[in-house]
Amino acid sequence: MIEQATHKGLEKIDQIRWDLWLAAAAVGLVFFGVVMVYSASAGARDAGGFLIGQLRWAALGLVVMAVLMRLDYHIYARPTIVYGLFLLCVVLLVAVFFFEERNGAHRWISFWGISGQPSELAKLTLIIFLSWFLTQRQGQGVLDSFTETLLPATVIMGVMAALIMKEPDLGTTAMLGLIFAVMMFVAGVPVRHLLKFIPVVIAGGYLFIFRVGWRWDRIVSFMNPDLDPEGKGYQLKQSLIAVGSGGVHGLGLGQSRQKLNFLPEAQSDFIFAVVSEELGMIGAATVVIVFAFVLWRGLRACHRAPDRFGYLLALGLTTMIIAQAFFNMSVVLSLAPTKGIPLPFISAGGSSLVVTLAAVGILLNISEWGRARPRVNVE
Amino acid sequence: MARTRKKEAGLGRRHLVVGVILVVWMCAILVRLYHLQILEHDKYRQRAESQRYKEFRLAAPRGAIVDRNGAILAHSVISNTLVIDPELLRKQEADIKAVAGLFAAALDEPDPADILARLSRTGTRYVRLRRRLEPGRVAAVKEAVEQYNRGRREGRIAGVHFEQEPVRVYPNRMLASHIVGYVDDEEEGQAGLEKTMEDRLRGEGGAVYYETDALGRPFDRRESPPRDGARIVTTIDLGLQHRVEALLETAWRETRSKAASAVVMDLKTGEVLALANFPTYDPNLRPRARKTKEEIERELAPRRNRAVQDYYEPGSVFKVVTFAAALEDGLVRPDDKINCLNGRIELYGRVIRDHVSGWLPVTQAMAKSSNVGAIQLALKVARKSGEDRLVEHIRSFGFGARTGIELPQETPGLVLPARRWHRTSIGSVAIGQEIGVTVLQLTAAMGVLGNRGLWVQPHIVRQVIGPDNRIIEAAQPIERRAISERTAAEVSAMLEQVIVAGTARHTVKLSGYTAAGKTGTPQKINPATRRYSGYMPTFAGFVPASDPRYAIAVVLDEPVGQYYGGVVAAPVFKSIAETLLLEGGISPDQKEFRETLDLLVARLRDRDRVGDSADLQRVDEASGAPRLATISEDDAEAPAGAPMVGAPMASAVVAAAPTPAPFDPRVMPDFRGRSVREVAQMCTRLDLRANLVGRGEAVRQSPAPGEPIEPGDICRVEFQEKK
Repeated sequence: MIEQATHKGLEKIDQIRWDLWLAAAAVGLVFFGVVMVYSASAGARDAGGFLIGQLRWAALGLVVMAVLMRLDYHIYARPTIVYGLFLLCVVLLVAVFFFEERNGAHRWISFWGISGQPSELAKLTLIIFLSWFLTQRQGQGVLDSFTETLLPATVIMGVMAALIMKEPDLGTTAMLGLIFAVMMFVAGVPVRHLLKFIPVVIAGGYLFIFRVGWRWDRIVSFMNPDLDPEGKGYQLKQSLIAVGSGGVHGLGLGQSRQKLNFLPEAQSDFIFAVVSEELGMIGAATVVIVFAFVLWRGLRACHRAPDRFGYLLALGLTTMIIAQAFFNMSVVLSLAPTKGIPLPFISAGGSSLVVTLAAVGILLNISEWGRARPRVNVE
Repeated sequence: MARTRKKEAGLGRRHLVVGVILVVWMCAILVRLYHLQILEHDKYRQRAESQRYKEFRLAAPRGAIVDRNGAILAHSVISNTLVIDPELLRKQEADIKAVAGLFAAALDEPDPADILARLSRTGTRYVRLRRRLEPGRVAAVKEAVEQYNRGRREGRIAGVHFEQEPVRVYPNRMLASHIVGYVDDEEEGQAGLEKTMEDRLRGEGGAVYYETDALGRPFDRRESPPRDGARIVTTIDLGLQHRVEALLETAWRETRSKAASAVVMDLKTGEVLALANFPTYDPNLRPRARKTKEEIERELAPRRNRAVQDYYEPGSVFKVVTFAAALEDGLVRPDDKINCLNGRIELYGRVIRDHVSGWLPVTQAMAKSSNVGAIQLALKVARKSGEDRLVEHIRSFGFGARTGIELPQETPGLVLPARRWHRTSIGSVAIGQEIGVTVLQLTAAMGVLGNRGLWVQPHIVRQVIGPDNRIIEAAQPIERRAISERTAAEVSAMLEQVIVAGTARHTVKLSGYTAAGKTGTPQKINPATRRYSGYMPTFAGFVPASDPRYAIAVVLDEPVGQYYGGVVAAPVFKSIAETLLLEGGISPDQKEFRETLDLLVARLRDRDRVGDSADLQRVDEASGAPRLATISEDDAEAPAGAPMVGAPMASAVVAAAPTPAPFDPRVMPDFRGRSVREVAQMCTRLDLRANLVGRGEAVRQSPAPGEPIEPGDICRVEFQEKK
């Protein structure tokens, strides 16, 4: 109880040391991403522009990471920060509807030529909020309560999810739901409560997938990409061709053929296809393994976190990065229906990269607090 | 420490559950990568390539087919093809009927129905409306389309374009069509040399590959240049082929035969100089798709190379083989007499009749084409060495096996082994029945007799010349001994008698040349009824008999009216032979002709000396050689016997005049003062049997100078050394 409320008396037991391995993996993936974005955008009109843009975002992201790494993560447990972030998110998510539509969706806000997706920030905000909120509720001993814990959390999540759904951006909405479910589960909310969401998910799924023509088309084309290769299945088919033609060794860095306008979104959502084509099974599997490594270091930070807030925060951030990465790969490999979500660290796209690196920065800070001690050693 | 971990306990493991689930997910991704990148790699690589390579084929010009002197029989020229995309036309909702009418008018086709049908085709985006367009036609079609489209917003004509492609052209049309063959719409040989030499002629098509992005913009280009097809130099002599076709066609039409074939072969080299069949066809006209069987038959029948693809029962002409077999085995001599019985012979109850009877010399039996004589000889062979021996002889003449000529669908003919014969088969085979031969085989067999017993493989391709003008292949005909030189000479002498005194005596006497050959008048077997019906008059032989050069065979199929080989086929043989010999620069070898010619030469010289042309006239009349008058400067031959090399006749005669002293062959010349060699030469020329005594100059002679002499007279000349 005492420690939950304040951590000022907390001592650092081990030698303070942030996770160098995690940092190395993150920085490595970022630079790999810069190279791949440059390579994958070769078919685009302004490949150099993509390179410069990605480099700028990477630099900004790394700065953010470095700053957050040194910022005591307990600062996020302040209600002002939590609610401030939430309000900012809501404002920005509403603001997107006042900006120009891109590709038929309101996902972007833009100031001084710099544009970003507030939905990326929303993921981070949700994780911070839930970590704080669930720690609070547990401290009050009402974690098991449906009305006091699950319902308010759902409302907060629901506000953001509804706004993102409205953009529309089903992929990020799904990611929000996934993070929510995982954090609830890990925080110790009874599973029976979580199961109550199943009808909601089914109903939502029905409304937003089956009732919306193009989403249903995507599902169908995912199940059977050859049905209409020039139409709805086109992107999936081209993605599979890219991956499959890579073989073991790949065509060589920069040698992708599919990026030459065959594969839409080659430098963003489908960059993993280009990686697989150019670097083959060896390169693609290496990327997967590096993400698994990040997963391990993230869970390690989570495991060693000195308190519940750090534990939940680390888990949420790790889940956000890894689940999103695996989901993206699954889309590329036709293991999951197409959802527009980027591959963390690697895909072109500023806000995603910055938010991912911010998440790594927080994780690194949590890892700094870690102690080599068994978590379950009580009583 | 007041720290309590109670709350953390029990939920401290849940993050591991999340970790495990994510690791399982990762494994699924790795398995999927393995599946796509290793197991299905080839499939996706092919898909990737097929969608990004654009291939433009570069046609390789097909090689030409030329005659032995380089005259073109077949070559490929670039031509325009009018191509339509019916899908696009339909999409434009153009009035198809009006469009068909427009094309019909522009292409000068009276009936637009066919065009309409093609324009209405579904399921294709590529219809060739007309190939081999004349250059003017291209502009006409373009203009008609433009005019139609002008001011039209809907229903415009679209999907019309012209493709340039090489198209096979046969500039000589029907000429040598069975040798050359033809190609189909894809420029692939379907018959003749076009088919057998397809791989040489075709060359290798090249292609340009463009590697493109998804928008079809090329960013890389690879080219494999086309390699031209090789040129085929045939053994055919186009001029001769033309003459042979003209002669054969005349005979074919006049006799109203169903078909006719003739082959001319250089019997020393096996080179086929001419090969003709009627009916024939124009290879420029591609066979049209026909519906009923009869229509197909009518379309394709003229395209058969009967001389090579069909066999028939040769009949009497085959007696040559029987006689040669008996002579070769030493069972009979040409002067021996054989018993032709009373004009009929009975074999196990089967009676074969003959038009001659009694004891005849073998030569006469051949000349008169005695059935019984031939059967008697065959029986002699069989009795001594078995029936198989006869089959062996037949096979050694090249029957029963493909000659291997470079023409498609050659039939080996039909020669049954003796164990498959009936008891009476020996009587049939001896006279050319129960046996199937092709006209080409027959020609080659005649060549054996003229070529000192050697069978030479007939062939029609002389050289294959690559695009770089290097000779890739040269003809290497097989040569093998069929019969001994002696037998060949003996049979040749008999065949000469066929023409001099036998079944062809009225029809094959060549002007100025000797010839050898054999008639045949086989009856055809109707395959449906298994009964004999119609005749196939045949004449096969070689010329000149004294120094054989060419083997010739002529066969007519079911002439109306006259049907004897010696009557119908022999004159064609004669015309062909005369053309051949005169144009081939062969010196006349017939004795009387030579003598008269020598006389003419002598008189010409006299006239030159005294300027008395009346003398020449007198000699001409006195010689009683009407043919002399027909000899023009162009087609007479230099008496020296050397092939004429384009020199005008008159000067050749003067230049080649043999001796300074002219002589009349009917009076004894004055030999006094001449050398032994000179006298011997003169005697040979006068056909005197010389009895020369001593050495040096001639001093005495008998008969005395000026006395009348006859060929074959004996003359005695004495010589003495000069003091």
